[in-house]
Amino acid sequence: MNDLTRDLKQSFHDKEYRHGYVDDFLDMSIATQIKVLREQRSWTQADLAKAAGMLQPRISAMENVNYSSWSIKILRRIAESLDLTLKVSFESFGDRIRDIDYFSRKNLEKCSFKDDPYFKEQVKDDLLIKAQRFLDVPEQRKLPNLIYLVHDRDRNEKQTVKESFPGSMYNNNNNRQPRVEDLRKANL
Amino acid sequence: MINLFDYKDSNGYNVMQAWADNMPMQSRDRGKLDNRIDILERAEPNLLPPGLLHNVRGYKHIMHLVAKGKPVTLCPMLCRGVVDFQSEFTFLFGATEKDRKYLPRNAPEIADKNRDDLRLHTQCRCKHERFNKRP
Repeated sequence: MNDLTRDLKQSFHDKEYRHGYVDDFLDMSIATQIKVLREQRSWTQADLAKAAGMLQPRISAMENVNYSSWSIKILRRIAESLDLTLKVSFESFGDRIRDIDYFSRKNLEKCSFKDDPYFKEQVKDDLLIKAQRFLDVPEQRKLPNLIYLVHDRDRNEKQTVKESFPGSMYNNNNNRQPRVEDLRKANL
Repeated sequence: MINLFDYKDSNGYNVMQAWADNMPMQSRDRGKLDNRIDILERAEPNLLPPGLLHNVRGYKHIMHLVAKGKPVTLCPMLCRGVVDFQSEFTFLFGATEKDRKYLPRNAPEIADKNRDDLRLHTQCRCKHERFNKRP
């Protein structure tokens, strides 16, 4: 536990204090996150305003930490324009202290759908299964390297072509374990 | 992380803590002020939230932090540095704002004078302590 967390844990026993603190933190974190997300995409305020169907001065006002007139409707529009989902939830003060502790640019940045690693992984798995359907079992064992080659091209990353060898599904330093169910699916 | 300091006058008196102790501040407003100072302290060089600090007109190096409260807005005055301008801020003087006017009226002038003093005597400051921590 760091000094800030320890201090807050003590100070938050005062109800007025803790509500004043977290209300202000909420306004500041939303404003800051809008700016961080915009900059992550290398967008100007005008770009975001255009995508969200608003005027640039409004974006400028919302990126200011002194803005507090938030509405869920407006935040939804911002979220959609950034291709993100808005999450609104009630939280305990303990959870809020963790948010305060993790307040950083890195933690405020979020990927749009097209860059979301969760869905990139899905695309890779789908490609693997589709390719396996056209090959017999010995050939399937050579597939993983082929799939990663396609995936690397998508990301425009440096190509590393590796030798395939039987008996290993994922042998390319990705720390992925062989997934037997993929092979089973392909054999159906 | 930013390092925060408080100016101490020639008598070794921490003017910021004295201001916070004597200010009739509601708990809610104190919470707001502490949040802003905590965020400032945790700010990365590339993440200073917009609107957190305002420049004081007519004083190039003086800024104030705003925490809107009732009945007055709290606006402690501060500057970058004065030893390391990248990673330090020093609180110079505590002021409030009402109807867009500082109380005391000459608050920026005092803050600027304290900064000049601090530049000559860099030992006239101490690590900032959270206001709420004080008894």
